Amino acid sequence: MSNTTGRYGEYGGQYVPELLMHALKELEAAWADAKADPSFMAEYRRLLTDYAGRPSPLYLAENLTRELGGGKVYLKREDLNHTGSHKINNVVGQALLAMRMGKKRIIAETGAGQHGVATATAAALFGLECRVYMGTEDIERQALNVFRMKMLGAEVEPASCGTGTLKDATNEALRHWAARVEDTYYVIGSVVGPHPYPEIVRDLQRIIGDELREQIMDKEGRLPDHIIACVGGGSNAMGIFYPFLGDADVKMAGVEAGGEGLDKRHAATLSKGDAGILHGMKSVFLQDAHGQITPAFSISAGLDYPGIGPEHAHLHATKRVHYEAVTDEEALAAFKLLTRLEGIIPAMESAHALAYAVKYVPQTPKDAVIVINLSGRGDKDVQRIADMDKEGTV
Amino acid sequence: MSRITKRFIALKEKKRTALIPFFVPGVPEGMSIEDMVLHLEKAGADLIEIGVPFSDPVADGPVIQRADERALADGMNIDRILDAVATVRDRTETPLLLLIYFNTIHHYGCGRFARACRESGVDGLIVPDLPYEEAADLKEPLNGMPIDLITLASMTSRERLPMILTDSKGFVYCVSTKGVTGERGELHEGLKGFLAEVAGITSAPRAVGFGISTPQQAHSLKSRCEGIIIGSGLVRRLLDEGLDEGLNFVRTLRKALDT
Repeated sequence: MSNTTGRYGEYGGQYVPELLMHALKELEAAWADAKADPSFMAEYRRLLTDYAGRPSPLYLAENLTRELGGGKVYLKREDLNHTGSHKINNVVGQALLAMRMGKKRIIAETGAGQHGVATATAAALFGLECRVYMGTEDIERQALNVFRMKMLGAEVEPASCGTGTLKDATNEALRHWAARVEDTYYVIGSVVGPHPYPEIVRDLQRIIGDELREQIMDKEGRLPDHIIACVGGGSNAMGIFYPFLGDADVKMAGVEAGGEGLDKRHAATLSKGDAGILHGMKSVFLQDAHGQITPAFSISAGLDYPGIGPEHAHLHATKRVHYEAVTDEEALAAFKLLTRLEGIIPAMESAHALAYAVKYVPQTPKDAVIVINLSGRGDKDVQRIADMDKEGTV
Repeated sequence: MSRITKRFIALKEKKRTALIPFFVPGVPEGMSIEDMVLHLEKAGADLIEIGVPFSDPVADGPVIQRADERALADGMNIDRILDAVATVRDRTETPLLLLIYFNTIHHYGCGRFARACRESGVDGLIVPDLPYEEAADLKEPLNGMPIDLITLASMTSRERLPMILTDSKGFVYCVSTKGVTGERGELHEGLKGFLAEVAGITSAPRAVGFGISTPQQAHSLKSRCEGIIIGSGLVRRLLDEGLDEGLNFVRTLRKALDT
């Protein structure tokens, strides 16, 4: 095995063109330095509190609990963050890091547009130039977020190659970064990419799990039995799981996008993929017999990615976290269920975690405590679901 | 000694700068890999790079992406390329290199891939997403085989040169610009200094690639390096203008290097 830093078991590493190695080493050093600087972390925390609205509430969903008839279901309300998802946690930290490194220009890739919107927001706040790469297919299905990014002053650059989704937006962002590496900071939106990105994003998202630990101790006087989160690249899941990895009694489930079903088109990387190398990391990817990356498919643009963060691949290999897929249809049903029962419209991504809970929670005892990471709100998805309703596809 | 090293020694005696064209199999349509190799050799190639198409070629610009997509749609794959190399190997001594993304090798299995390359007669590998720190998995099975894993050197990672050039084999691929492959109007102003710096660290031949698109550029570089690599400029002509235009371009560059 190659001997580098940034490994999670056999996964991780830095599989990038030589051209980018200098920038990654620089980033590694800058992050180590920032993380150890109390004033940097204090500024990050201040912005999360005063600007993003943290801590996000931990909400006991009584109606949902009653409906499912098993353990108590709590929702970690990342949907209430400024910009509508957990993505802001990461972006605020990375934008501060970019400025600390003297970069005046940031770029990002986006799938559903949540990370793009968060990045454009931080760019507006800090006066940075911003360009967001987005697949042409996603631009169409997430039109509202495209408009938001443009209003915030970001340039949205369509990625038309390949499948026109998150994978292709990431390719384009990497290419552009290689061309402008000296003045540009690349804000990766998930726990993916070459080291140190998976670590940086995890460190910036762990606030979700850290808060949860305190909140659940307050409310229940003990740790949860089960934590459930959706996984595309896996940042909201890593954020909520990470502080509990050492607590053997806390079970965790990462929910992948099963699309039309695992024998049809899907984005269930860990369920169906193999070890491989893409986007600077060794991880697990959907690929064909010759190692060509195959297109992912999901109703949710944010989960429509043929890979997954390397730390998830490792947690899957070691069986610390259970990974399972739910279909588009199951996610849609859960989306509607939560909307009606709790008056909370979840993002289609988060609806995957809910769909798993709908199947799993009824098997748990009444005194079990289950936490679902409600990673984002569903405003961005409403138009598309309305269209599907009209077409009769719902 | 590898076929690549032998070729550079022979070129040095002749005071000739190597011309290293790159092509993607199946472009232009219907052209076999074997025929393309022989055409390029006749047009003046000293070494030839065969691009193994990949679904996500992140080090490549739009022209090569388009060629890769075309090749994949036609069912091109690594097995067919290795078979073609084995066939043409009996008919040419021109060193043949594969430009290949690491996922294809990893999926094949590093050890099995190294053996398959040796059996087919592949002389060198250029793996654009495999930096020095990650290369051990592939270097190990190649050890003792006459196959060179080519080191890529970049102007943006100068402080790394002494480390990455320590055991360079075949030649050093000097990336002449920032960004991805593609034609550029002007070459980077720091290129001359960069090439001199590389020569100060290693005695391996230097081939310059990324962005060379005109005979003038080739001519201006000929005394500053041991080879030039022509990628997007050739692939674009082969894609859009056909075989004759592509080969004319190679002949023009040959002439620019020889005069």
